[in-house]
Amino acid sequence: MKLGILLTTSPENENTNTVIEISKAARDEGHEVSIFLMYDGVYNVNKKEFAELVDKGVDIAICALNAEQRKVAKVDGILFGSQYDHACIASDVDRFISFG
Amino acid sequence: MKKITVIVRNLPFNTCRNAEALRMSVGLTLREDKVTVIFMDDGVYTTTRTKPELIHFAPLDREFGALAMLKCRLLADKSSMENRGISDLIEKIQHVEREEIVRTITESDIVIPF
Repeated sequence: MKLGILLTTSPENENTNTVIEISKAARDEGHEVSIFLMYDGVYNVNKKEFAELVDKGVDIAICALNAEQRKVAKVDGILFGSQYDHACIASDVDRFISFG
Repeated sequence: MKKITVIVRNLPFNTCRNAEALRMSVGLTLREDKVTVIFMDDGVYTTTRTKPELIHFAPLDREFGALAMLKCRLLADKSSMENRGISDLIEKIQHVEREEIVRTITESDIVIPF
């Protein structure tokens, strides 16, 4: 199953930990996971535990416009994309969860 | 084609969250999914005739125009409007009963409260 996740809150919100744990659990069960970060959610790329999801096989894309507005620097393995990437995730996944 | 519903519930001028919700809604049309935006609770203030430029806040005309042009449904919850004494909305917004809001949400493949 393909799981899509939208995260719009910054790392101090408990949503971040929830997204990390859900993503790990889904990957452990063999599901595909794609995460899109926008609004204050782009700050999550600076959180080590979150960025490490890439090593678990999670696809992470972020809204480059929001990242630029918030001076968030590029991180290896994370796609600095656009709202089109979010549209693709929403369109292609079997289940979609929003954390905001 | 999926049915995607975005729900806006926050006040418009103490955050740029609502503007971002509309920008995201425009983006979600790029794969030809059917996007509906629902304004309810304090979110209905977003759909009233205001002059945000007076407080140096960017107006949302461009986002509303794009969504209307892309034939997205823009719905305001009638009971939220009545509770707040709101009657005059910008022309692109339909005000609908709570039952219609519930029907739209339950028929959606994806719901994004923003």
